[in-house]
Amino acid sequence: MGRYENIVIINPDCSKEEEEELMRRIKATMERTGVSIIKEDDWTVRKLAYPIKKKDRGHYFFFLLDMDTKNVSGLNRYYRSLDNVLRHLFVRVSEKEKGPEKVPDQVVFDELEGEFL
Amino acid sequence: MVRPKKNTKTHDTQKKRVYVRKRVCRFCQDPNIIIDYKDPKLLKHFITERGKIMPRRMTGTCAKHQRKLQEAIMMARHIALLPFTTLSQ
Repeated sequence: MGRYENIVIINPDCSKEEEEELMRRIKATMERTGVSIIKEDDWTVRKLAYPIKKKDRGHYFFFLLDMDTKNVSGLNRYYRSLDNVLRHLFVRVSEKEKGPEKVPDQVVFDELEGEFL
Repeated sequence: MVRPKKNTKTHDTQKKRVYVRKRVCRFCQDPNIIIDYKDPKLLKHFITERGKIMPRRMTGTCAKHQRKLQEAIMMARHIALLPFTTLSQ
């Protein structure tokens, strides 16, 4: 049973109940395939650093999952089948990972300052 | 007719600009900074104006942390927390 962080970006234009329905379906498939959700965060709608599928904003969801490796490909296929999901990412993490306490804050890119000497 | 002397191309020996390398790696020095792809505020210091990853010689990070940094930046770019490129004027 590996521990995975999963980030899902959902189309911001879909309505509230569409979103809830989508999230319910995602969680239902997770339970069905034996994936246990340890932590779930809603990072609300954020501005994307670059447009994805012609959308400039996206609704971010964060999951901390405990599942074995063969579920990953199943969930991957499932996410790709949904068209409201703009992008998703699985990252394998160590067992004692607890997940982020706070939502990552928005970074504005017009005044991007690297560390100059 | 005096042929104008071909001005020899004055190749300016452009001194190779050696970047002053910061001596110490920020992540070795302060162990509780965690390189995390979900935290764009930290990663932002390591990408240039154009959004490119800064080389080690400019930021002074050690090889081990630079590899972690690079992986985190690429993952952050994948989920649109960091841009691939910015069109700075």
